[in-house]
Amino acid sequence: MVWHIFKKDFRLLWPLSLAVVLVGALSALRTPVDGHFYGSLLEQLTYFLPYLVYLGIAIVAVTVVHQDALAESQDDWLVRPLLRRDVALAKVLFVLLTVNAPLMIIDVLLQLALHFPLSVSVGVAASRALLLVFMVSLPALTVGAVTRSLVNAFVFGIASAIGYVLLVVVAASTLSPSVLGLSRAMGTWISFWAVSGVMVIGSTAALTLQYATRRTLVARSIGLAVVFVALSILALFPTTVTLEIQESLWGPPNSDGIRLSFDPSIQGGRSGQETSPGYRIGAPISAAVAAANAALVAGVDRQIEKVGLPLSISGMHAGDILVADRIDVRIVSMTGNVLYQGPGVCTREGTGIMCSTNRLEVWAKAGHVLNEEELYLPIRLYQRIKDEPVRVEVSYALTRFVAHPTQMIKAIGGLKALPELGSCATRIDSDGDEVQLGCLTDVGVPSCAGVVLEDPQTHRRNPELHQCNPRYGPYRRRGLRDAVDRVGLSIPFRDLSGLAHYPVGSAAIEHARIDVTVYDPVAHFRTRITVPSVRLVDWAPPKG
Amino acid sequence: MIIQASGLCKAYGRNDALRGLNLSVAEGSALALIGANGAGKTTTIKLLMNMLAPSSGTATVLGVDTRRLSRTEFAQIGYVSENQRIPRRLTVSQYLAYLRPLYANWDRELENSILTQLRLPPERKIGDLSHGMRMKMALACALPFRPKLLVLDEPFSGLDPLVRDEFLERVLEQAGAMTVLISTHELADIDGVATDVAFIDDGTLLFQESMSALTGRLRRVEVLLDQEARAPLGAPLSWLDVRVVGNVLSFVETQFSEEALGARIAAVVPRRIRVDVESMPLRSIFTALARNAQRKAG
Repeated sequence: MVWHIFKKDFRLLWPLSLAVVLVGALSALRTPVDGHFYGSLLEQLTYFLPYLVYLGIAIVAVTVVHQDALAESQDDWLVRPLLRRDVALAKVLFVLLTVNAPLMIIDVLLQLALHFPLSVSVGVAASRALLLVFMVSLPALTVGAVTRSLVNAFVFGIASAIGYVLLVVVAASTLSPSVLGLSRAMGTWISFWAVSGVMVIGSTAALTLQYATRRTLVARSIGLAVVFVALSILALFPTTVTLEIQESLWGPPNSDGIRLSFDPSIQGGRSGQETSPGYRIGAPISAAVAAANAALVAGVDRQIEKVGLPLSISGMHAGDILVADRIDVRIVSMTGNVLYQGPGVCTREGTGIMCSTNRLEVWAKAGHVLNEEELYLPIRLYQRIKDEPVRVEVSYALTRFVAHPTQMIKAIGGLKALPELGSCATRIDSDGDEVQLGCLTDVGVPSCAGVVLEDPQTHRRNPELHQCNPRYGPYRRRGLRDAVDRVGLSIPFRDLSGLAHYPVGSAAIEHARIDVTVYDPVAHFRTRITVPSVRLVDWAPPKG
Repeated sequence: MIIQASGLCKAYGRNDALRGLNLSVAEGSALALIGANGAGKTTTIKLLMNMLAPSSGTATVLGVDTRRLSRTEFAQIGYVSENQRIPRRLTVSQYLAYLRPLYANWDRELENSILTQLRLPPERKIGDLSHGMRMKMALACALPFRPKLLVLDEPFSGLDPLVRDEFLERVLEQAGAMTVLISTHELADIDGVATDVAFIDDGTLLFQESMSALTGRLRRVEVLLDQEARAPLGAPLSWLDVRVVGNVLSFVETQFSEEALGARIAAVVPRRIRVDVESMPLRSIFTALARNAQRKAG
């Protein structure tokens, strides 16, 4: 009877499913048409397509359930000799077979067209399809089961979203920022799978309950609770919990001889390397987002004071990266009063939580490394205590990354498969001042990567550019938007103003190459430094 | 009893739609559930069909608790309602083809004869049918499997007399083989169909009895007096709708018998010239009972 109901629904809804699959195909076509590089006009114009596909899947799921609605008491099927279990299975089958499966096949075909291996293509497509089922299809089926119409379903969704926003606002304004997971994304894979678990279990429970008992109010309550819990996990999952989970999965802590200490003999500015603004792992950010980020940073700068404590790091291995996942700071007066306690990278002022993206990152330096620990303090607190001696305690949760063998690709016109990145290509950007490296990755987005522009004839090298976006999951991160992720970066070789000169400049760029190094995390450990007595004003950057 | 309801209650929020309804329908009978709009007829039927859950009370249909009605029972129940939702984008023949495999005893010949008799266009989409045609379509989907119980919820609402007669004719052809529960506020619709009648008002069953008993015990009575009439003091409780116009006293006797009526009239109206007694059409019976119920409630 499941098949019989399926056929009835198919007769009614095949055009809708076909439309969604066609949009999915159109969305997939963007990758081969657009090629390796971000930022084309086509990409900007079609940016919304993947989201349209999600919406389409949800509409199909809701609509197919409404063909034999549960929340109504007027539907003919309710008085027909049908097993509700069969009806439920028919609806699930409909979404899987007419939408999710064709979209998965499109993903496989897309990857095969890009010359990725069949096994990888099927694996990637299957995992993405599974995620879409968990995160879109199943919840949408549940929404359909507890609503009367598509409009009703939209209202239900919007009401949930508003409720959720209120929840986050209340939580963010009342809970300590040290509790909230706003500072770091390292636990994302844990919270993501926690959300998936909640969505699958909750949606299945609500769907089963509704089909078994038609207690719409109860099923609705469960559905709403699932949405709230899932979204709250995404936004509010405590970093302390993710750290604990991550460490328990990681095995025994292993600092591998790396030690951190306060070293007042280091004077002057920061010795750590700045991250390159041109390098980006994952999707690009729009100009609007960049402007919003800049405004946020400027807002933070007006409310905080930066103090740079000199930090000595010893025991680093060549090629290693050390990344702090969490830094907690305590400032205690000489009489033992705690003057400040909080995350080293966030501060709270007024009603908002201000977070800087700055953090401790030490790149590929062997032996003894000098760095600077930047403390961000509320400006009023700083003004009050800057001249008195205080004790500063800084706790670190650190991860050590090691490098994969460096790969090389021509700086211009290169097209090569790089083992840790996928199919990569290079070109000069439209301004003529940067080399663009773009990769279509079949292995997922790496946590950290570094690139150097090198002239193989003279062995001259430009400064290394690098960035970390640490993910500690047992698998590489993949985007949900597209089956094939793009990794993109821009490497400057020419200063358009003419003020700076690069070792590998315009003259050498024709035969230059890019050395690409991908890093993976290998060990995690915690450490703590204590500065017994220090005046903060002595370590604040000079004004003006 | 093919249907048995006991203390059935249903509340929508703070509004009580049913307040302890008791009802029984004997096998082979045709019970008309009558009552004004909003009296609770549709709610009663939806509870009996397990389309709604009762707030309290229990009911059985075909001997099974309505909350546990299964495929076995639904395979023996035909249901037609004025607001029944049938897939609008399927054609008549497509929907019948969908339903056929659900019923082991679906009679294809009977289906064809019903389609012919009701003049239903097989290739027309259900959504394109008129209201009357949709009702006939619903009936065509409820009869071919020869249900043991046919439930009709306000089936004639909005139907023109011709369609209504076609509909009824079709029902009556199979009526002997099944039990019929029909809800309506139009008593003319059940004339000649119902064997029993249950009157529901404000969620409460006021009475239930056979049609012959009901029509037998209610009479309109007119008493001609030799002087101007006055409303009699101490009129019997069995008199409803008591009116006085000139020399005429009229009322509805709800416990009619030749012998008792004379004695009752004599007790309150000693000087009378003539007494006229006439049987009442169903509509008048319903109106009198409804007015009385409203008067008591108000």
